[in-house]
Amino acid sequence: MPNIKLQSSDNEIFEVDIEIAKQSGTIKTMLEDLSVSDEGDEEVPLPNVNAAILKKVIAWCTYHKDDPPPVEEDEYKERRTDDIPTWDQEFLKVDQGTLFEIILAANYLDIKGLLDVSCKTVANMIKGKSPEEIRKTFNIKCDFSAEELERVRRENEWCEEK
Amino acid sequence: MNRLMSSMMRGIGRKRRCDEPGRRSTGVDSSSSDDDLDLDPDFSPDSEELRSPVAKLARIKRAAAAAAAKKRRKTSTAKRVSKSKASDRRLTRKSAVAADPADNNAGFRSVSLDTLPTDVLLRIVEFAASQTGMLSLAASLSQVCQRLRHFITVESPRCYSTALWRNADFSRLNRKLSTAQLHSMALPRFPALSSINLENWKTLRDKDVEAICDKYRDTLSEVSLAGSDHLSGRTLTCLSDRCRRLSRLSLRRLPHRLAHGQLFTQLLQRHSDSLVDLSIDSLEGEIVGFGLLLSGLTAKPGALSRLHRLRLANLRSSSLRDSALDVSALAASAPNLRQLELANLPLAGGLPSAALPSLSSLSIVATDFDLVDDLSSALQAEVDDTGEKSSIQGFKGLRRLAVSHCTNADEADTLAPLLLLMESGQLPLLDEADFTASSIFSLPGGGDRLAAALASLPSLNELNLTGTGVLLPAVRLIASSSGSLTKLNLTACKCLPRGFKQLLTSRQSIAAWVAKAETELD
Repeated sequence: MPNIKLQSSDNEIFEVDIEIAKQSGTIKTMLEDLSVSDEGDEEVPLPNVNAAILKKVIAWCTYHKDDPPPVEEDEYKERRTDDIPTWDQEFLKVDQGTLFEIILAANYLDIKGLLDVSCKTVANMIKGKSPEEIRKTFNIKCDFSAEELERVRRENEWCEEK
Repeated sequence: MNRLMSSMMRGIGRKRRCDEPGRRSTGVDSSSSDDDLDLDPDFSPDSEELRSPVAKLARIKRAAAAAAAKKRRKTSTAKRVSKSKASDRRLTRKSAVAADPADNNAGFRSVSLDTLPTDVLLRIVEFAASQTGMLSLAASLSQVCQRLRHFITVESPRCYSTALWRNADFSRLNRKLSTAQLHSMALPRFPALSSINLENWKTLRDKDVEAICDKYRDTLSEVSLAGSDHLSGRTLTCLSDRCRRLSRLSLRRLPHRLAHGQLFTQLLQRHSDSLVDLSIDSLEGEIVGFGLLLSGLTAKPGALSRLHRLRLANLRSSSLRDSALDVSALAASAPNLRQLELANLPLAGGLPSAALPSLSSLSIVATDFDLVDDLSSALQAEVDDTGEKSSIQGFKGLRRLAVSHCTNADEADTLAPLLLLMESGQLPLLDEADFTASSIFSLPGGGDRLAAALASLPSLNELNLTGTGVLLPAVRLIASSSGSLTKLNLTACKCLPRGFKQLLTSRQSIAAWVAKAETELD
C-alpha cells in the first residue's frame, strides 16, 4: 500500500498508509484535489497538530481502518454517550490536556469517529454535575464576582434539576 | 510544494477558527469563495515547486477552500448568525489562545473546556444534553465561568444547532414557573424551537398555545400537550392553522372540549403531508364527532403516507361502540406505518398485512377479544384466498408484537392466523412478544400450539407471559427450544407451580429453569 508522510507542527515526520490517513476528511480532500500521491514523497504539513497528538491520532485511525465510512448525521437520531466502544474508552484514558488536544486535532483533521468518541468522553465528564463539580473536574477558575455569581445563580434557579 | 501545502493547511486552520466568538462568522454558502482563503502572505512559489504557477495556485486555492468547506459542512452546526457583537470582545482573549495558528503549540498546551472553539464546544454540549435535556445542563454550565456563560447565552443560541436549542422539554418545570414566566423567562432562551413538550402544565390556556405557535410559526414541528385542564378546541384549530409543518403531535389527558372530531379532521387534512407521529390518548370526557376523527384517519388512500407511528388509546365517545376504526382503510391511508398501538378501541375489519410492509411494532391492548378475532379472520381469509401461506408478506418486518390484556376468548382458533404466520416463518424478525394477561394460553388446544409456534421463532429475544394461564410443559417447550431467548417473564402465571413464576433475565437462568421444570415434570 502507498504511504504518505505527515509532518507534525514540531517537524516530526510520520509515514502512514495512505488509506489510514484518508480517514481524515481534511487530508483526503487535499490528496484528492492536489493529487499529491502522484508527485513523489512530499510531506503533508499539519501545522496544528504536534507529534505526540499526531501519533495518538494515527494509532486511532490505524485501529479503525476497517470501520465503515461515517454516515451523515441524522438530526432526529438520538445522541447517545453510553455507546463508546471499549477500545476507544481505553484509548481515551489520557490526561485532560491530551484529551482536548485530540479533540482539536480530530476537528481540524475532520475525523468524525474520533471527534465523536472524544466529545462523548468529555460530555460524560460534564453530565449530571453541579457548576462547582464541573469547575473542579476541568480545573476551571470561577471568574465571576460574588454579585455576578449570585445573579447568574438566580437567573438559572428555575431550570436546575432538583 | 511543502510550503504550498503548509500554507493550505494553515489556511484551513485559520478559516475554521473564524467561527470563534469575536471573529467574523462565515456562512456555509460563501465558503467556497477564494476570498475566504487565508493564504500565507509570505507565499512565493519557487520554480521547482510549480511548473505552471498560475494554474497550480488556482488549484491549491480551490483545494484548500473545498477542504475547509467540506469540513465545515460535515462538522459544524452550520448557519451562524451574522457578525459577532462588541460584547464578544472580552471573550476573544481566551479563545485567541487556541486561535492563533502561528502559536498553535502554545495554544493547544493550555486548552481546556472553557477555551475550546465554539463548534467543538457545541458538539460536546449536544452530547451532554442528550437524554438529560438542555435546560438543566445550560443552568450548570452558565454558572461555571464567564466563557461558558457566554457560550450558553450568546454563542450557542446563534448557531442553528441540530438539537441544542431546538427541543424544549418543559414538562417538569410546571411547579417552578408560572405560564407568564414560561413566556418571559423560558421561551426566550429558545430562538427557533422545533419541539416543545408542555405536558403537565395544568394552567396552560389556549392563548398560551397560540402565542407559542405564533412565536415559532416557521420552526415548530413537534408538540406534546398533556394534563392541561383549560384547553379547548381553539388549541386544535391553532395547531392546524398556525404551525406551518406539524410532524409530531401528542395529546394526552386533555379535556373533552378540545376533542371534537371535526377539528381533528381539519388538523389531519392540513398536516397530512408532514405528520409523522400522532398520539391521542385518554382524552377526558366524550369525544364529539368521534366518527369524524376516525374517518379523518382513513378518508383517502395514501393521504397520511408520512405517518410512521399512530397511537390511539382510551378514547371515549357515546358513539364509540358504533364507530369502529376500519384498520384496512387506515392501512391504505397510512401505508408506511412502523408502529401501531391501539388500546381500548373498537376495530372494524382485519389488518391487511400486505398493506403495511414497514410495520415493526403492533400493539393491541385491552381490546375486546372479538376484535382480535376480526384481525385473525382477516389474516386467515388472506391465507385462504391465495392458498399460500407465504403470500403474507406484510409482517416480515414485525419486531414487536403485543396482544395484552385481551380477554373473553371462546374460540380455539381465534389466533390461528397469527400462529400460522409464526409456524410458517412469516415473522422472521420478531424479537419481542408480549401476551401479558391475555387469555390466549387458556384457549382449548391453543396453548400448546402457540407454545410450539413461539418456540419456532428464530429471533425471539424477549417473551412476556405475565398473568397468563400458560402451563409448565408449554413454557418448557418454548424455553428449551428457542435458541435466542434471553428474557422470559413468568410472574403471576396462575397455572405454574410455586417456584416457577419467575422473571428470567439470562440464558443461564432460563436453562436452569428448564432443568428444574424437567425434574418437576418427570
